[in-house]
Order: sequence, then structure tokens, then C-alpha cells
Amino acid sequence: MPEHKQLAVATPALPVPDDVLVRRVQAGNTEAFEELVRRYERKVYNITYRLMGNEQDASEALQDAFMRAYRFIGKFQFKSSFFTWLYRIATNVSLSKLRKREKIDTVSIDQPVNEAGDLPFEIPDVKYGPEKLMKQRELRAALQKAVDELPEDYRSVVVLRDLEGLSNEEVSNVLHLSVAAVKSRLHRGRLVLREKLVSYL
Amino acid sequence: MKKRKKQTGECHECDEARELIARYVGGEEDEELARQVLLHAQTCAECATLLRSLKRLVHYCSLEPNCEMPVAVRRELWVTIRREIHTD
Repeated sequence: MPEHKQLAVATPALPVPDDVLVRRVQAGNTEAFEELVRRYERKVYNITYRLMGNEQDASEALQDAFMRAYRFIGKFQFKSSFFTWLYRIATNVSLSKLRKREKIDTVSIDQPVNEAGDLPFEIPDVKYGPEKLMKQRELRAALQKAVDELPEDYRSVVVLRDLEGLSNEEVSNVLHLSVAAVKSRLHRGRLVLREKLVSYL
Repeated sequence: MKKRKKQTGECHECDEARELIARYVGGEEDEELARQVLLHAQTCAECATLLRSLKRLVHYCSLEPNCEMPVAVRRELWVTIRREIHTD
């Protein structure tokens, strides 16, 4: 029986694990750092945007976060995952900028807009009519505004847990808090958010 | 769970219930917790509303799409990154 020729099947290359890329960066490989940036730029932007509440500040925090990550990656000891470490930097940079901003801003330029109070809660579905889209946009804007107004301790937990989908354990690692503290802040943050968004819920 | 009822029959300032509801909505898997919360919500309109609205809030948050990173923000990021890593 003739031997079958083995067909060369092209298998997609597996992504290089973060840890391997980090070791390459630590050895001086700048392309590895660029790969890490490409991998996480959107997620980090999400965090900075959610925490800062506007594009300009989020953009600055995003740049600062990656610059700090690059400068201090030599000290990364693999005690946590790279993304946990990066998210911690992004959160800390954002909160630090936020504190500075709050000291400078005595009056918010984004005054609350009192929207019609009886909008029903809408779960996005595939039938996006213009009215639904409008309501979702309003709800989204209201949610971001409510998050902006949360006390800092609650805000970081709510952003990472509810909006970014990290687990309680991951949030505890990012913020250097116990899981119990994360849960407590999350519960209280949600209650505050709910009060602010009650007319939408 | 003891309810502190006012004469109107509504459950006001029921901190204990609010705390339990928040834990329940937070996904804590505890049958006794779930039983207490649901039982309480059946007899207290205010807490039932709280439970419903918190579940909606968490659900809505989970559906919230990622923010679109504007092209200009990304471009600026990469200018900064390349300046940083190539001037070491």
C-alpha cells in the first residue's frame, strides 16, 4: 500500500504568551513591547476612558500608562499576570490624573443634563430602530456620567469589574485590595450607580 | 431576615436587605443567600424594585461595548511609544 503523502497543513501560529514577550522586552527587544501595546491598547484605553470620562484625558492616561509600563518592565517579576500589572498601572495613572484634575476643576463643565425620567430599560438586541438606538445612547451617556460621579474608591472597582468584566480576584490583584474589600466597594458602588440611574432602570 | 416595616407596609432603610441583595446580584453563589433575598423581595415592594433594578444595571454594564479608540488617540499613542522606546 503506497504511503500517503503527508499534506502540509498550514496551522495558524499560536500567539506568543505575554510572559515570553515581557522577557524579550526585559532583554532589550523593543518589538516585543510594541506587540504588547498592540495586544492591550484597546483594553487599556477602555479603562482610562471609563475612569477619566473624556477622550483627551483618557488619551493622556493611556500614553502615560504604556510609558510607565515600558520604563518599569525591568522590575516586573512575574508575580502576577502582565495584564494585571498593566491594568494596575493604567488605573493608578488615571486615578492620579483624576485627583489632579479635581483639584483644578472647581466647577464641572459637564453640568448634569436632566433627561426625561421615564425611559424604560432597554436591552440591546438585533432590531436597532432609531428610537432604540437613541435610548441606548442616552443610557450609555447616563451610565458614563454616573460612573464619572462615583467616588474614586467605587469607580475603579465598578469599571474593572462590571464594565471591563474582570473577576473579583483579578480586580483585587489590580487594585491591591482584598477580595472582601472589592466586593464591599462593588456593592456600594452599584447602589450609588443605581440611585443615579434609577429612572433608566 | 427581620424587616423593619413602617405603618405603610413599605420596607424603608432596610440596610440588611440591601446588602444581601447587592451580594446576590454580585453573583455570590449561596443558596441560603438567594433564598433570603427572594423571600424578602416577595414581601417587600421596595426591595423587589431594588433587586430588579440592580440586576438590570449589572446586566446593562455587562453588555456595554468597548469604547472605540479614536484613530487620533491611537496615532498619538504610537508616536509617544516609538519616541519612548527608540530614545533609550
